[in-house]
Amino acid sequence: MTHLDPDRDLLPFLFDELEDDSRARVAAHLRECPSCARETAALRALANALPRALAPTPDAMASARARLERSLAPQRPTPKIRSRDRFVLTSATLAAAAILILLLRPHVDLAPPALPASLQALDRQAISRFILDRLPRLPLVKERTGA
Amino acid sequence: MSESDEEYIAAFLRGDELAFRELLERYQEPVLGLLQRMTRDRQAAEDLFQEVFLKVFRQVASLRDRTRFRVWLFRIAVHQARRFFEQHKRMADMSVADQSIGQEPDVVERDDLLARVRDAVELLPERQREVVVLRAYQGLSYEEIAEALGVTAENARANFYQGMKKLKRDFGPETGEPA
Repeated sequence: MTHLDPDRDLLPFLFDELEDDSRARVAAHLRECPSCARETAALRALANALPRALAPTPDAMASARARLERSLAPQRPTPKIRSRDRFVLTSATLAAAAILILLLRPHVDLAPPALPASLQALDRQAISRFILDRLPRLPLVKERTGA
Repeated sequence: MSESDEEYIAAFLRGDELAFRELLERYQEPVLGLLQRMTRDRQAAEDLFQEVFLKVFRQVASLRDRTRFRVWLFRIAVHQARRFFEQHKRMADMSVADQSIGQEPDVVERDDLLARVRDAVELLPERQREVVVLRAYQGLSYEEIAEALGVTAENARANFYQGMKKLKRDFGPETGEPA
């Protein structure tokens, strides 16, 4: 009895690469030939073991993923302000600054500076809030990545 | 139902970062597995894993045929691993001669048949190893392997059969035993 050829018959049979008639021929031979059946069983066991043997271990996967996450963080797009919105923002900031100067001006010219009691009570945070409260709410536009 | 690769890519390019994460989830294990087997070095594989996905993050917009994403991704991974392999070829050859490739295997794992199959794959010649990993582990067709490796489909098939026969010679009696 002529045995099956690994390249032409056994491996293509195991990896489902044969046409129907060839597949039937190999299957029929394997039923009759213990030697080829053993050979096929060994190859099949190896083929079945390979995906499990070659998969990364969970700890390696977790470690690689954590490192990738750290690398990706700086890659992420930051929200970008459109030029029209930037113009509005700049104008509003200038307007707020002008209001603040007008409010403070009479006192800035005096020496020593003497702010009205209401403004003297304002600290840096309060002034910032004062300005920010007068800025329009601007929509932030997400940058198209990779475009 | 999960989306196709090309749908995720389109969503990612529209600014949906979650879509990139979905692609990452889908391919992280095959890519790391491929890199580990090709570099034979866990640390290097993790370094290259980052490189591969950073490249994907930056360059996926330039991918013309998004249905070929999987092959494109593996091509990047193979390219990265080959570069590493070339840079460390001498060191790797010495390691092969010493039978002490990459990091020291875990003591428990050393007794495991799967660990020995893994070691045997790592000892295959480079092209056979690439093809065995891409075919038997990743399930790529010979045509896809040919595209990823820059060889013909026939060459991929021949190398796969050679690699499998060599592995079978090393492990036939053991893997042939009923589990």
